[in-house]
Amino acid sequence: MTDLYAIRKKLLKEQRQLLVHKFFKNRLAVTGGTITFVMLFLALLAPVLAPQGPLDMIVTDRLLAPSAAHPFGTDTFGRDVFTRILYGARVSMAIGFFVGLITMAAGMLLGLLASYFKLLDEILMRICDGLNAIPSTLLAIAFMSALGGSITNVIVSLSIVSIPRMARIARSAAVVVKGQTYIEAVSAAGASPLHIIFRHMAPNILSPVIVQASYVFANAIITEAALSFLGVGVPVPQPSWGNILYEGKDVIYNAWWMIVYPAVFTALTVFGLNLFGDGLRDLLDPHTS
Amino acid sequence: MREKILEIENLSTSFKTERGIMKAVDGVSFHVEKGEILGLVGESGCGKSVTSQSILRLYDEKYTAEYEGRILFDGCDLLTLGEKEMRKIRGHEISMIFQDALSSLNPVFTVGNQIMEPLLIHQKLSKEEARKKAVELLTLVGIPMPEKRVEQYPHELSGGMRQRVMIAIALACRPKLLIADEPTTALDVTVQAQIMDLILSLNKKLSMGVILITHDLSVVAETCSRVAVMYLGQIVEEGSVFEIFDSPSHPYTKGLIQSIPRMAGERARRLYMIPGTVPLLNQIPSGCRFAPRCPYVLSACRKRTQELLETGAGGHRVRCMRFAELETKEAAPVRAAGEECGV
Repeated sequence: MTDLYAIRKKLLKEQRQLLVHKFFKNRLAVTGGTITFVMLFLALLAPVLAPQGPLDMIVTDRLLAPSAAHPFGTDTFGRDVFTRILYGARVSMAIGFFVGLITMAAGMLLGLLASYFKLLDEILMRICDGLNAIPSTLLAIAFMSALGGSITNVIVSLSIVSIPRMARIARSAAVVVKGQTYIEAVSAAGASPLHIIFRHMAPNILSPVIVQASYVFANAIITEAALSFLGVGVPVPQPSWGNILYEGKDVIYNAWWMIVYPAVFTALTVFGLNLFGDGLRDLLDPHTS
Repeated sequence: MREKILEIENLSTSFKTERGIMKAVDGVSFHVEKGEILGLVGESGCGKSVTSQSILRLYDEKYTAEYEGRILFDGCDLLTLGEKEMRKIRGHEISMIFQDALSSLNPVFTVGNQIMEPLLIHQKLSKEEARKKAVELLTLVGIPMPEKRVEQYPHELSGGMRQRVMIAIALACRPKLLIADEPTTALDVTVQAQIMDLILSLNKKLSMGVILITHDLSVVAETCSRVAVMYLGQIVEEGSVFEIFDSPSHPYTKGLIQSIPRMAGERARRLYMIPGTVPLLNQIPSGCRFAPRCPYVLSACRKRTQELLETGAGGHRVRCMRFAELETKEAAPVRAAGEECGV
């Protein structure tokens, strides 16, 4: 009977293969994953791929149309738009990633606590309702004008804006888990509330939270672009997709490339992330298939 | 008489609901001796599970439940303990097995991890010690190849295996009292027998008290030494398993016993059933609670509240005013079964 272990190993391997297979069969998810991966790759390798520095100005080469030397043209100060978009990808990806991460951690924490402690639930959920009542972009603008423009502040204010929804999702998942017999069983075994919450409930609500985090990631990229476009996001000389758009809007009739390329990159990244999120949801949530 | 490990005096558990306060358990008193198995029987909705969960105080006392009475465990009243002290009792001194073994294990952890948990919480063992103990426990509950099983997840085990794992978790800290809430309901008959045998042998081996909650009287007859019959949140009859089965005094107990299908001997054409259903908690009848369904009901039954009375020797107690009559001669039923159903 010793080969039971081997059988189990084989089964596990098959299970993993099935999961991978399922993911690759989902064409949209693969497309989304590829786009996201390429964007991350471009962002990481920006210093290697970029033909020049993001702040290098060649004043004589102002507003040149796309050419072999400048694939996406140059901007009002003679900076290479392609370079700036690559470096902008770093900013966007970093903001998206950290906002997703912070929102996930904080939202999960609040949602779990709210699902367990009734009084805290009332307090936290009313605060979330309050934050939800204000359109998130406006709220983010308000936070940015209070905090001042910098990448860290963009991350902070976007996180604050997206935490309420994440907390709600985590809470509703946690309430379902809390009603399960196994939670009752561990409390009958003498586990403390915090032990129950963090060890037994948290792993069981991970999948909806991860899926939501991928949407938060995408949303953060759009909102960052919007904030920068409005001039309250990432401060100006730094490249970000929103900043390039912001500078391009004054010369929109003369230099279409300053608008089109960053917009395409933003749209493509968000598209990819959303598809990836949908794929994750199909994979992680056994109820939808 | 052996030492009493648990003594419940006048326990009442009420729930605050939208429709008012519901008293699911109303003045229940019983005790469990060291090393004995007490059967707690009754139909669904009689308050068996609520009683058992009240012993561990598993209901949320802040918002929903309220306990009254005393629960003396080892001479200490559990209802006076703080939440922290109560946690030290749960899973350590008193353990519980739930009826639904299939969903009582957390799907994201291995079986071994979940058996180790009470050991890590209560006995502060190191991980290696706890793992070793988990393997021992799995052997104790009769799971083959425990070294392999500890690494498996609940979904990889069958229902019977999972119930064994639940028992292993419950026994991890060698509790003095085990509450088994319908431990075999979700399992098929052969596995049921194995699990009951296991509980019986562990009860002997570890000499712990067991409260066995079930609606299966045949299980009670085979395993328990004493039985308490519950109806609508009250104990209606209590006694040794022989007294209950050989000379049931309360009409409800009689009804329950008559409802068991007989395998041998003469059989009635149709299986007996107690007319009607257990009333809802907000429709508790006045007088004797069983009166609306009782075949021996008199008009006096509906007027007077019945106390639990000692019938004589050996702590046999009955909550029925006609018990003496019903015991001596076969009193004629006042009405045929099913004539006046409902409340």
